[in-house]
Amino acid sequence: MSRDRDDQPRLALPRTVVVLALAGGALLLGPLVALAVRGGLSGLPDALSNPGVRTALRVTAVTSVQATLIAVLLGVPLALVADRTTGPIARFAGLVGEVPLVVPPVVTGLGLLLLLGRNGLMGGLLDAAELRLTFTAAAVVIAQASAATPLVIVATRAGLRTLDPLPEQVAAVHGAGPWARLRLAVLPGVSGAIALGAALGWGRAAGEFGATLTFAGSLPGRTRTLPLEVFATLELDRAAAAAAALLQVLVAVAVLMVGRRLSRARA
Amino acid sequence: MTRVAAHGSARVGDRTLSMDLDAAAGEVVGIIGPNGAGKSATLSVLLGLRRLLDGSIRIGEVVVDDGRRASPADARGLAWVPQAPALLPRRRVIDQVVPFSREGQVGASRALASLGMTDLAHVRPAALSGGQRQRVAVARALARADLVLADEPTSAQDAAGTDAVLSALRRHALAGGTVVVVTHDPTVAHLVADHVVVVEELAVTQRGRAMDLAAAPASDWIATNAGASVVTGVVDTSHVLHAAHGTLVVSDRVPAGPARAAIAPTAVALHRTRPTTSSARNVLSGEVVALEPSADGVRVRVSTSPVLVAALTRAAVADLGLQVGTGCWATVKATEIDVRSEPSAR
Repeated sequence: MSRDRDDQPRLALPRTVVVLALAGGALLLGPLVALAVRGGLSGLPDALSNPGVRTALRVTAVTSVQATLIAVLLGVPLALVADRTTGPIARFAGLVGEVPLVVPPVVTGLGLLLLLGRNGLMGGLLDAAELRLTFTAAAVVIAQASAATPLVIVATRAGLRTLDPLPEQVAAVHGAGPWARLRLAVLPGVSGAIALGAALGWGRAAGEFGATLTFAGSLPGRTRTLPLEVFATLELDRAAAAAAALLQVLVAVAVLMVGRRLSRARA
Repeated sequence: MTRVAAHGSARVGDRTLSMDLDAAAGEVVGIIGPNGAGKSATLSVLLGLRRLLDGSIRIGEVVVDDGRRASPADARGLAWVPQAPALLPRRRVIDQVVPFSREGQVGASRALASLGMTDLAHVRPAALSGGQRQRVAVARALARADLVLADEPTSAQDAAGTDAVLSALRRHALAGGTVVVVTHDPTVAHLVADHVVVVEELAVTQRGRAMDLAAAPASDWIATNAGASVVTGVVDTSHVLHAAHGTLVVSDRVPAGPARAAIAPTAVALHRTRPTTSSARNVLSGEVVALEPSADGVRVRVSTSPVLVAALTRAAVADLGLQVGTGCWATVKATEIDVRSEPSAR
């Protein structure tokens, strides 16, 4: 379908729209250019050999992959349930899925602290099980997952909204039960959307800052992910921070490109 | 033995669909009617995708819906060819059929072979034409169950594809299956169905053999679409129907007043010279304006007043040397004109 569109000549837009679009591009691209120019690019080799940055990169990789898996495992079912439900419950579920997108991460982090922290709502339960989450890698994963899950939900729901219901109905008429229908018709039909949501969520998880700092702290080697490393370095050496930040950008872009490739291949 | 019996009503939007359908083992039943008449809605009730208000749906010996309890779609043991092929995302042709096949790989291969699709078994849907996708959907249904509900199964087919689909459906019935075919095309019904149910305005208006519909059509749609010429006008006391263009002598069963006449193509005979010994009361001159192939030969439209359509064999067309523009005479017996009083002149 997109090929048909590419074949057609494009009609011109009003000049004002083009100017505003360029301004938008500058707003988004400007900071990245500044990062690269003011020490980022030249400092990149140093950053890559800096033990603090390398440790933070490793912590980020390990936690963000786990967080993404959790986000998919929980976000896709939530999107499916929300898609099949109607009425106030469905609207509430949709809201629950999207609120974390607009709530500042530090607020989410505080919420996690008050829920799962030492004196939190479920603190007693966790104590009884001898589980301490705060300031552990597990806390980082939870904070990142809470940021990534909404993106998986939103992307999956968008996929479900445009999914042709007929193959699933055919599968049902031909005797396929709920699991078989999910496996044969529904999940393959939204796998591109899930892949895109997972990539966006992964990028978001790898860049999570506010909730992680609030709930998991910034312990080098344990909970200090790359964004926290950038923040910690900022006070000491602005150029080194820019280099670490540029690394963060490269990681995020790589994740996004992989995700888009996956989602196109599945479309 | 009745394999499927559907009697009762169901809600379609804010209207009520009335259903009255039986199909036996070994039988192909056609559901024909205009667009939006309730043909597909009838199938959706049978399939369990729409609930019955009252009445009952029986499949085999089991009542699957009695208006109170309905068994879910996945427990009815049916097969369905939907209007769109609805293939599973990205799976090869053979893997579209195997997951639903009663006899696994063997049954799936056999079903594909019956539609001439064996060579395409390992092709992915994106590489198939619309007609090929539809044939995969037909194969998927044939491999699934004895009772097959097919919704416009030839809509994407060319002539050869139509033959392939219809003969596969016929063979399924011949092997003891039951096939219900929904179509807006009476020719398809004519070609494939033992019996036809006409659905119009959410209710059954006529039933019978496809070839018999034109002789006594219950509605204008049937008359026009089963190939009959429809003439409206006023019948006088000498049993002459006065239409906008021309007159027809009709049977004396109809009282004087507004009336509608349907002349089945099989009731019209054509001659190159004026017949002198015909017993037909209507002898009209005109010329051939169109020749159209049909299921059973050729439909010849002649510019008589009123315009008539005659059903001829290909041999007869050749013998008479009929082409567009050929002058000819058409004869119709008054007794072969289906004429009914109209409630009021339109």
